[in-house]
Amino acid sequence: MVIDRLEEKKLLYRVQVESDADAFGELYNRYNQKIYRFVYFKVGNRSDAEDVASDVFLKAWNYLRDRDRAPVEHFRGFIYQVARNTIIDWYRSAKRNVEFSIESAEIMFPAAMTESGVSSVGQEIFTAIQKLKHEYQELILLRYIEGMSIGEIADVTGKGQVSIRVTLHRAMKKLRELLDGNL
Amino acid sequence: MKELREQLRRMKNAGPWNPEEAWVSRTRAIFANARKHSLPQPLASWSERVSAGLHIFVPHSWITAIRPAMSVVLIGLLAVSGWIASVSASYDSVPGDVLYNVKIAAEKTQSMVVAVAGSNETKTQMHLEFAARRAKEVKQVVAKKEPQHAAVAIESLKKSMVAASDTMKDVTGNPSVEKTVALAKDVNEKSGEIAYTLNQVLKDSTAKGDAALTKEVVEAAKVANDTGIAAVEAAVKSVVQTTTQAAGTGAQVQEVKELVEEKIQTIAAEQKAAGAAVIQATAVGSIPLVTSTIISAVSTTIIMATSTPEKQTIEQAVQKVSESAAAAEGAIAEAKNLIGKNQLQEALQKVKEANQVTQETRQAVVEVGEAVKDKLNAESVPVLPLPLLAPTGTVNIIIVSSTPVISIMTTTSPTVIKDAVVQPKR
Repeated sequence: MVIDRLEEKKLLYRVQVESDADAFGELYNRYNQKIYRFVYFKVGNRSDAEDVASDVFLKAWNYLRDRDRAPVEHFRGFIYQVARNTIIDWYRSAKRNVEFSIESAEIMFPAAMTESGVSSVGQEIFTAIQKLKHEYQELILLRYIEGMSIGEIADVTGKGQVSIRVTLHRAMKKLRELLDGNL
Repeated sequence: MKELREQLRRMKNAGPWNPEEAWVSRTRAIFANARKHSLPQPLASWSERVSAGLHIFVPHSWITAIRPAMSVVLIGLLAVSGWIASVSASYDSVPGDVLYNVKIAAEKTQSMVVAVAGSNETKTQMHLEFAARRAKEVKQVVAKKEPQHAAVAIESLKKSMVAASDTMKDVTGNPSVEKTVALAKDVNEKSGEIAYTLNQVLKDSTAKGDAALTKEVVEAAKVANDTGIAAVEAAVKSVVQTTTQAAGTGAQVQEVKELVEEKIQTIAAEQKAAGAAVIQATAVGSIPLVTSTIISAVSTTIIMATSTPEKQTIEQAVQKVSESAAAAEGAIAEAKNLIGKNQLQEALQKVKEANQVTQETRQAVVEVGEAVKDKLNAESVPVLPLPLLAPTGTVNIIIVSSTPVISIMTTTSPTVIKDAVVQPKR
């Protein structure tokens, strides 16, 4: 784990200092699935998820190459923040008529679970997650689907570990209630 | 709840929330093109690299915490860089100079490092290097007419020579004969150079007028000579252990034999230089008669005393010098004989005896000089030291009288002195 993090730091250094495209490609390989899943749980469909996720990486690349910007210390926290901001931009685009508040609103997404290979339980859980607050969605996604530790989640969200534990407990309780209500 | 967590974990591996490989490849290609068409960035400066490195590799909390300490670290670095500059500048300093302590401190640091991480060969070489520097410093301060600063360097020189000798003994236990012999030759050569430098000091007029300094330098030269002898002894011991002396034809034995022969020559030359014949005077103002045999026909200094009180002191010294010189010459002759028979250890023993005697002779001559000077209480009457490299066939006669006058006569025939009548000047 430590070696992995150090390796990531070295890649980040190469991108920021030397504009090393190969180093960024390596970072893309490490995070493209995670960011895609993160975006998908927010936007709810493959087509939009692909567009937004691509945008996330392009913005990240342009930001890191710009030496006038503040240097990035952790790529993981950075890329997830770029993803959040890109999702907000996506929602604020003209074709979206939904008022959006990333902090508190419960956003309802149309379920688009027609793809094959997804169990009915999986579908139900996904639908229930879509009904949760964004904050709850993120924590459940990062903790149980991505398998991050509380510390890693703290790096990504910028929140304290105690707060994350408490919020995560509430998120799971809410999800359980939603699922029990549907089942 | 546990089951729900497990179901959530299983969702990662299957579902539309995982990207298709086609999209991954397409996206990778899209922004690879974007990278190609991006304007090239100028190279990052050194400060930008350092700043980025610090931000990325050092946690932010650490930077905040150590920022106050950074100033202290920077001051320390400045001090170290100043120290390094001082050490460089101090290399040519001599006792009495401001930076001399810096030079000695740097050598002590080097000594500590070598003591921990260096081999015995390295330690020996280091001690010899330090001793050579001290000898050079003594020569320099005496040439600068600052003999008062020489004592410190002489004392340090003796310590370094003893340390070199001690570490040389540790090397003797080394199973590699080649290494032992090589080191012994090196030590012998460097000791000889140190002794030569010290002998040069004795020729300086400043040293000549300072009996205490002369005595110190002669003692230091003795230590240097002893170290050289010890090195040769180490080489002999290591060779004798591996080959038989009866065979005596191995390349290593031959090498050591040549080393011993060279040592014999060196001791013989020193003995000749140190040999003295002292003419026993009878009375003040009277014509002194030569009663002692001249030991060495090469170069001789005769000190004649013309007053009774100092005469007895000189007589005792003369007796001692005469006996020592004879013993030394005998030992040298025996050593030559033994080396011819390839009896290295026995030959070396004789060389050691000759060396001991020669050194005692030199000490005795110094004592004679002191005695004469003290008794006559004539600071303006310098006692000339023995000419170590005097041309052959000359005899210097120094007449010391109660009046501060010195007469020096030179003759090429030593045997003439016996019957010579020397008229002291008044």
